[in-house]
Amino acid sequence: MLNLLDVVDPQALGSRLRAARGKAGLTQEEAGAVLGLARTTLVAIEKGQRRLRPEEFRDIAELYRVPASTLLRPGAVHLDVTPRFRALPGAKSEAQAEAGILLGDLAAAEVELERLVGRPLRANYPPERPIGPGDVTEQARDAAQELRHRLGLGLSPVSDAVGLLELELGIRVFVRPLSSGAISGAFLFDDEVGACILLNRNHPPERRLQTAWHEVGHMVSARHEPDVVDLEQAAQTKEERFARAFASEFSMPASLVRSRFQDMRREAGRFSPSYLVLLARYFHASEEAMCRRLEELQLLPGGTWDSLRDRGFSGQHVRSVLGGSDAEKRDAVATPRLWLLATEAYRRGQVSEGQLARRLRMDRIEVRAMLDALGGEAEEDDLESLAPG
Amino acid sequence: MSPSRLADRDRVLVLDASTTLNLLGTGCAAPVLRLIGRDVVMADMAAEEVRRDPLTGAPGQPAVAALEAAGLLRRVSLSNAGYTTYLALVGATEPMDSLDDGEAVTVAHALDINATVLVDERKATRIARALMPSRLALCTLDLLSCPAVTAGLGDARVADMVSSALMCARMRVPEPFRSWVIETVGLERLRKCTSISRSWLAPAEAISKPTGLAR
Repeated sequence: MLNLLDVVDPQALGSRLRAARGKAGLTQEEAGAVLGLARTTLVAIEKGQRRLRPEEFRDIAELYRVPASTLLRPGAVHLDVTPRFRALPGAKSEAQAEAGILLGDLAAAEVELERLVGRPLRANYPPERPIGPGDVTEQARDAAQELRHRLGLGLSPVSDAVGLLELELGIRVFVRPLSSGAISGAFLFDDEVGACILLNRNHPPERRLQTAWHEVGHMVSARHEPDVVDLEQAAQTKEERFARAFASEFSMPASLVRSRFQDMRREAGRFSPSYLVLLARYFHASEEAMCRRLEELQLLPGGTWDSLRDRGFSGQHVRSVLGGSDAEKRDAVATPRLWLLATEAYRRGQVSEGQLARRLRMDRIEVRAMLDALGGEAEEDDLESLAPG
Repeated sequence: MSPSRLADRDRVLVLDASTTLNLLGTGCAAPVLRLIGRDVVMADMAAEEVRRDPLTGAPGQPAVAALEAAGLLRRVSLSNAGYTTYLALVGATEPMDSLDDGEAVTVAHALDINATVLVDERKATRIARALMPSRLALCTLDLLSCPAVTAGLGDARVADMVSSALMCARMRVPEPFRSWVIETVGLERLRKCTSISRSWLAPAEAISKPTGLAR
């Protein structure tokens, strides 16, 4: 059997090894010490000046905890995003780096699938609007309204962020569980993969929606800087304040919020907590986000949410009667575009179930469910050529 | 008649994660492995890919460890020759010829020791057959339908375990096994399995429908 290490491009492999070592959080000295290699030898390997023997490769892959397929697969897209996310301000640097690395890996996997099936992504990004002088919140609101207008949304609430972002704007979106509950999402822009957003699957759908719009806001004002949404961190920068204000205006446009609030208040003569739940449901927002928006627009007194929370308020009963929002019922295994690419590549025999599970960071049963969605062989049909029944 | 292709020459079976998940999904992995009476092995990297027990949702590693502890499964590491084959499979130039790590170590180990691959994945099956043309690559249903298992467990239990693997693990049913699965599990139960393509159930459903002819 051919020894692949004799024919693989040593510089490409060296570059991947360096990135893998970085992800593993090891310096060249540390790695060399464990592997029994001089630092100069490791430098030569990472520069592609020295080929590896299989047993050395095995030791390195085990130390870096990276599978050989990741290092050797031709056509694999490798993004080294670790340094960008580790450099972000904030106390949770490890959690931020984890989110950033996951986002980079998923984006790379999606690009690889696109190249396999020959379906490149068509980006249709909103124009960049770097923050200028003047009120940041007002600039954010203008940007949100501009994007709504561009997408033809009017003032209507939007429930399907993923569909909108992927199909209308060409932004890559991934939904995966993150180990840190405080991290709601992440954003990355890279010349090779474009704009990408990661949302925490452990969070409720309303929270994920808000995070999606937050990251779009970040993309509008600071496209080339990575971002992580940390729910426990106050807005420290003007870009962060811009993104939060953008998300509020995009998801709950001020004029529609005022209009619906006044309608409800006029009907009932008051605005009770149950109406808060109904209004939140209408806007696909959490009760907290909705209440804080009403406070921001001075429709409710400042501190209303804090009071409600301290009194033990929960909209659970109303929601249980109403049967939950549409968004709650949609807890997708894969986002639409990724599903299309993965099932097509699988149908063509270009990827295996194991390859999809690893690259897309999905459980194998989830992969099977994704592939089963269209009923297996039925996907071979071309609907335009089916004879009428 | 049993569609199982498990033969006397298949003394050593090399499992990957896809078959292990299906076996765990039957709820009868231990009795099945005991009844087939073969040396069943699994490469380390493949074993690590069993993340979740599809029947219980619990972490998969304890379930694999339990089979090992019962002496029904052995974990193995690749030899140097096997490792070279493994690298060639994961790094194949043509995407159609490449496998993921667990699939690749399974095929590489089987090739190395001239054993039988047991895999429930069509790309891995195709590549295994290309590399070992004198051997069949078997699947989970080769074990579940083998006479030693069906006789040992009885019809009702076999129907339950096949149904369970279809529902919990979304086990695939290759064409040679479809009639046997329909006969064993029954159409009524199969209709409830969302993982099954309606297209291969349709002929059986058409035959089973009453014609509605007036007397």
